[in-house]
Amino acid sequence: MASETHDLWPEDLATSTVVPPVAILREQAAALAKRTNGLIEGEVVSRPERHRPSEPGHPFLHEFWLRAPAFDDYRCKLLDLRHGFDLYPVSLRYKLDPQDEVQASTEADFKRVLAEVFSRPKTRQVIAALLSQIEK
Amino acid sequence: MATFLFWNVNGKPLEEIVRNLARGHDVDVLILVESTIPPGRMLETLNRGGRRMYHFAYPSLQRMAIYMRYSLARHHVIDEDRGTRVTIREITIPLGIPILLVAAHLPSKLRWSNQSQTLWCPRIADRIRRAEEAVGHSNTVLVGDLNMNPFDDGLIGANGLHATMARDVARKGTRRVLREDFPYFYNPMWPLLGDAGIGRPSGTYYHRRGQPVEFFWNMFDQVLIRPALLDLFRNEELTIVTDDGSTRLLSGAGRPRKKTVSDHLPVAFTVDL
Repeated sequence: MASETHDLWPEDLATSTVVPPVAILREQAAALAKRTNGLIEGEVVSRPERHRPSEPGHPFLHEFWLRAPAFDDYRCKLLDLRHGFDLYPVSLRYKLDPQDEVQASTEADFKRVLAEVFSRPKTRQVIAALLSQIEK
Repeated sequence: MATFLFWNVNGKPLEEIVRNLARGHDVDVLILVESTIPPGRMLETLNRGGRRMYHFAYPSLQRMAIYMRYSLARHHVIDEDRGTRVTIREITIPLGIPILLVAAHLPSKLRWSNQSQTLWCPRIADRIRRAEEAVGHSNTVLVGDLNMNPFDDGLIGANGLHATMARDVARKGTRRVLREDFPYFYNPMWPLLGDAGIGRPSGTYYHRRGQPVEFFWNMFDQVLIRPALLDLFRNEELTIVTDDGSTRLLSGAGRPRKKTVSDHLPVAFTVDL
C-alpha cells in the first residue's frame, strides 16, 4: 500500500523581498526599447551554470545585449553579470571598449553602477551609431 | 487573447493608416506584405504616443514585415524560406498557449498559372507540418496574401493546404487519402466571399480583365486555422477592414482605392489564446 506523501518543505519557501539583478536588467531592457521607440531593444540572456564549470561561486550569468531589429537585427553585447545564490553582490563586466569589471554589493549599488555604465561615452556612441543607421 | 491584422500595402507609404488600423483594432501582431516602409519609420509611427510598444520581428523575406506588441524574447523563427515565401514563427502569448504563426505571400496569378500555384502548395504544407513537429504542437495560424481563392485547388487539396470551409469537417483533424493522413486547416474566409455580408466588400481584392471567366472580387488575403485552435477562434471576430477610422479604404464605387491606398483590403481577426 502506498504511503501518503507529506510536504516537508517549509511554509515560507521562496519568499524574498530582494529584487534580483536580472529583473532590473529586464526593466532596463524594456526602458531602452521604450526610449528609442523600439529601434533599439535590450535583450537579456541568462545562461545556466553548466556552461561555465570554471567559475564556481557565481552560478548565475546574465548578458545584456543591445539589439537593433530594424538594422538587420544587429546585436552587440553591452555587459554581463555574475552573482551567486545570494543575488548580491554582483560582478558586472562591461564588454565595450575599454572593458572593465565593477562590483555592486546591494540592489541600490547595482542600480547606481548600471546607470554609470549606461552613461559611458562608448555606450552612448554605440547607441547613437545604431540609431543613425536605421533607415526611417 | 491576441488580435492579428494582415495587409498587403501595395508598396505604398501607408504608415499612418497602418498605425490607425493597429490602434483602432488593438492589434497585437501586425503583418505587412509588399511593404516598402522602412521598419525604423514604421516603428516610430506605430509607437508614437502608444502605451504598449510594438517590436519589429525582423523577417528576412523581401517586403514582408511583422510587428508585434510581445517582447522579441517571446518569439522564435522556426522556418523562413525566401523560395516558398513563407515565414514560420512560434509566439508565446503572455498567459496564453504558444502559437505557430505562418505568414505567407505567395506568387501572383498575374505571373503564375493556377497549375503552378497548385503545385507549389504541397511544399508549403510540408514546411508547416515539419515546423509543427519541431515545436510539438499544431496551434497554427496561417495568414497571408495567398494569391489564391478559398476554392482554388492549392487551398483545397489534401496535400496542399487542405483548408475546408466547414468547422465540423476540420474538427476531424485529418483526412486519409491513399493511406496517408493529411491535416486540415479551417478556412473562415468562405462566409465572407460574396454578398452575404450586407454592406461588406465581397472579397479582399478586386480585379477586372477582359476575360470570359472573371470573379471580380477575390479572397486572396486569408487566414487559416488548425483544428487545435478552432474553439479559440470566433468567426464574428474576423473582418475585412474597410476604413481606419478616418480614411476609407474603398472608393465610392466600393472597390479598394488602389491608386491612393492599396489594391488589397486588410484582414483582422482575434484568437482567444
